Amino acid sequence: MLCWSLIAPLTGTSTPDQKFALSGYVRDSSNGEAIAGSSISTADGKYSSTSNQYGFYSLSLPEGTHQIVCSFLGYKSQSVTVSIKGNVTRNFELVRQEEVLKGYRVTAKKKDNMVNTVDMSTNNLSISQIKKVPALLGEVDIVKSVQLLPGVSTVGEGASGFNVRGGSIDQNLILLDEAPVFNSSHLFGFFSVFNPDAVRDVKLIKGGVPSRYGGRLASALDVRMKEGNNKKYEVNGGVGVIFSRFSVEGPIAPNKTGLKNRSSFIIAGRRSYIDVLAKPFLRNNESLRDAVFYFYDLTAKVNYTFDSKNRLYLSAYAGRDVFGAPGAKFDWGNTTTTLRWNHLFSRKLFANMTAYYSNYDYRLGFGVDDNTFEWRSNIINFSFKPDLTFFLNPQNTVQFGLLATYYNFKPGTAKSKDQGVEREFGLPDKYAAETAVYVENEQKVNSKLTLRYGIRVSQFSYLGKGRVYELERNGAADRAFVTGTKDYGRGEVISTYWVPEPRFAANYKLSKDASVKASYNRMSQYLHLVSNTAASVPLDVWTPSTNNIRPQIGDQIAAGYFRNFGKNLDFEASVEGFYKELQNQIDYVDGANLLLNPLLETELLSGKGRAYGVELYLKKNTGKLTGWIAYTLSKSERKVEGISQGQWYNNRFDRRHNMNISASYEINPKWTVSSAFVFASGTPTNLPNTKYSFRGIQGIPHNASDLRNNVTIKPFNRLDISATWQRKKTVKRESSWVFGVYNVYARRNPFSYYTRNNPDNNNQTQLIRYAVVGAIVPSVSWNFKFL
Amino acid sequence: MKNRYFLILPIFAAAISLQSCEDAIDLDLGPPVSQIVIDAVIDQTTDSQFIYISKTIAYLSDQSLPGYEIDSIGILDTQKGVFHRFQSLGNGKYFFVPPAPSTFEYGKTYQLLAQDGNDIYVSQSTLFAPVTIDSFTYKYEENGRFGGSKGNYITLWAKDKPGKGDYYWFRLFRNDSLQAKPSDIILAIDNAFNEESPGDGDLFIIPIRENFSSRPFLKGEKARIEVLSVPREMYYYLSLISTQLNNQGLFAVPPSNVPGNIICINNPGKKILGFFAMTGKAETPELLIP
Repeated sequence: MLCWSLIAPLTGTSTPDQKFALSGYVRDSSNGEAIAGSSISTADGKYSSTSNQYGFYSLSLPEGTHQIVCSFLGYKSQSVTVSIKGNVTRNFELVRQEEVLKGYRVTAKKKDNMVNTVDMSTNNLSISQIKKVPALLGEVDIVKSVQLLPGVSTVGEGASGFNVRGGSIDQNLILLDEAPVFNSSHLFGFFSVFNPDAVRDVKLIKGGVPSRYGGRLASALDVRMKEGNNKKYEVNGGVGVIFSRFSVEGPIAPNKTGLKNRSSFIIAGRRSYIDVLAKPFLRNNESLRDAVFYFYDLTAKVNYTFDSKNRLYLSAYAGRDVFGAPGAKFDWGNTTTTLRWNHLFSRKLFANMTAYYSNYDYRLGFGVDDNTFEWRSNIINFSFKPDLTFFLNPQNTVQFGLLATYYNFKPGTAKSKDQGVEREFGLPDKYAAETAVYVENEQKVNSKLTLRYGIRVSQFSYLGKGRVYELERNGAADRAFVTGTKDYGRGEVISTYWVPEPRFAANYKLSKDASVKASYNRMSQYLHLVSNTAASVPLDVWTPSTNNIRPQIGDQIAAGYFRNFGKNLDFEASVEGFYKELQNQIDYVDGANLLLNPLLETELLSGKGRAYGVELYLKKNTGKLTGWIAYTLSKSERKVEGISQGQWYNNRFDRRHNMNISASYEINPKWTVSSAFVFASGTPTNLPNTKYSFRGIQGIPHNASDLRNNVTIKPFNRLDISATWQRKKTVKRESSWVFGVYNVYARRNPFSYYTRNNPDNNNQTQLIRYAVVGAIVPSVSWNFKFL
Repeated sequence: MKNRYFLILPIFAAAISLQSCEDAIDLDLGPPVSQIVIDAVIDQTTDSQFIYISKTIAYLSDQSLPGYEIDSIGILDTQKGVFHRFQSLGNGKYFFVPPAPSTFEYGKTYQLLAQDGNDIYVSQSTLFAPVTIDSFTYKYEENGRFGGSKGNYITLWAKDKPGKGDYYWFRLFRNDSLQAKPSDIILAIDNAFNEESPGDGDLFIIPIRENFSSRPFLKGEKARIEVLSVPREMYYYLSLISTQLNNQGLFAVPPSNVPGNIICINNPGKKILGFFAMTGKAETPELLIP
């Protein structure tokens, strides 16, 4: 509520130094989509501003005539003369470079943001860049592209999510139009839930995290959906080996009063048909013959502009994976709905109010007729989140806002039928509320130094109704036992945590093409994904912080050198170092029972974490050859009392070296070839070195060293290539064929090692190297666009 | 056990995994420090009772486990002040024949005591009463059971003991041979897999009572099941073993050691593997599939 009281004095328009506001929106000329992060400045660079996520900018200027330049990477810069005698509204519609190239050459220098902006440890990917990366089965995938960025890794192919700077997958805040997505994967981890046809851009923030993001330790992945072409109808789609995509977007009923482009929509869907294709091959396989496995997702968004000060957006996502075999069914999915209202209180005060609903659930069912078992689990949350930007003056931009979220965790409700007798049981619901307020100022101290400083204060309450357990342990890493219980009524506060989270970032420009940056941020995390499998499974349960599970807290410092070089400054390079310390990291007792366990808390341990490393990044943005090279040298460790003799040990996400190369070369307007190469050190794993028998059970593995993660898996490397054949473009139609080869040299990259008794000879024990993809995977897909 | 529900995951993972593959490899797993293993599971019957003592060997070794001889081992009845000493049969195998059905009594706690040179190993365990078995039947299933092919499948008709917190270990003998593959470890808490399961005192649920073998019984084969009422700690010990032995693929959990319940009192740093448990044994009659 503190923030609301701040608004009133800020809504005044005139400032004492006789400056006026030049404000407006920056959009793409071809479809009216907002352009976030574009630079708006006077020609001499003395006054500058940046457009926000909704394309809005505001620049304070003294009275007089100014030459204003608006520019963004991949677009032709626009220069206009504006006479400032009072507040002025000026919208920009930028023309894409590729459109410009058709007619005449562009010589304007590309202005790159990474040197200028105070953001660090941040990667922006536009959907056109993502589309150039060769993908598994030819399907463009946002999370797979993110995995190629510096500081990002995965535990292996087919694993869901991604790991940022040594963090676990649940430490990433994944936002789709502001709403959190709890499971970002389809088909376990082979594809992500984001339909590339509906996505405008993606931003990954690994460090120097702005105050408006919070709730996860490692990163924020901010995925923004397209608004929908507000100029003309457009149909996009693709037919691939594993699924097909289809989307429609366009303006809604141009307004009779003459105000054009008031409203637009986009609706996009995908559905896999691997089950249909696989059917003939499974005819002779008894257990898989009648199996179903497919996924689908639907993304929709509509927006309406009431007037120059008010615009409303409604977006929704629903996706589901369904697996089934005779007598068994398993399905899971996310649903999110976001309602946003952009409001201009004044030319200097921009507000975005978001209300969202997000629901993740899975269902598990077994049995037929009179003997069935069905299990269901959900995590539901409602949020309200106003974010305000006050363009105080050319030197200071203040952001502030709040977040209020109510969570309802349904760890499991089960129904069983045995001989026709029905029973209902399960685990009790859990409730929690999270709130956060933040305020942050970005200050241009002088032409060289820019600072961003702020604080976020987050608070989390674990609420009743519920039974609370008091726990004790014999040994530090033993399973806890219950020493007492207490019941709380509905809405009663069981435990509360407060975490002040200071945020700081600085950019010092060494020259117009080089800068050094430093940042510090503290993050807190109140929700935890309880999972100790190699790859996270959809059954994994999210749990709130409770009286026994303390919130995770992370502190990170980072520093880096950023530089643009080359003709037209088309190369962008950076070196960054980071160090992180993490508190209250969740670990598990040996042999933890995490599934359907009412005493889940007894299985959890708490420890410390630390991660540090260096990231090198070289990116070429323009020309025939584009792409990037990312190299990360890092270490990620844990320390938990009672585990690994209480020493620091490398955690599951530790990859010492990680190099990714993504390159795309346009041979001619018809043909473009792309490649991606990945090299990564193996992750550490636990393996036994001895064995014994017990009552006829043979081959029981035992690690005599008692050290956690005592063996490192062999390195991972893979090359993927693809070629895109652009068919003849017409005004009405475009289409292209994409031919791809994944895992070109058919390497059996180890996903994990595990031990087992030889299935053909129970007396013999084996060490198995498990590769998820063990062969070349060719693909072909056809993409189209109708206008 | 809980992991039975997880069986669904490997099936689906197999269905989707794009030509995933498993190769047996050799790797340096570090020095295989040999440790003592004591396997002592005693029941209330007057059958011969056995304790096996051995030493661990390198994980990838094809040798059989070497037996290990110690000075003495037996069960101490502290109330009666009697020590039931087990006789050595050589190679780490020890036996004892209880003289009367009342030698071991339900609800009482017994101690394992062993002397190995200067080291004394101890443990303790409480004996719980066995279940009552109603009947043991077979049925021809045209569509198989739990993914198995068509044929004869057995069903154990028995009820969980009244009262929450009963733990069971089921052992299937096919033609007198114990079925001891990793997938053959069948455990229950009350009549199901979970401490919170609502069916206390009822018939064991279908995934237990019908799920003893994924391979049907052929004509002329014999089947027999032992149901051991085990202490809670023993349940978790076996459950952990089961997890370790059935831990494969995309969703494997990190392997962990299985902590036992036997300690060396004069040298607590010396790790003794294995387990001591008193168990209440119920047995089906032998069923001949005609």
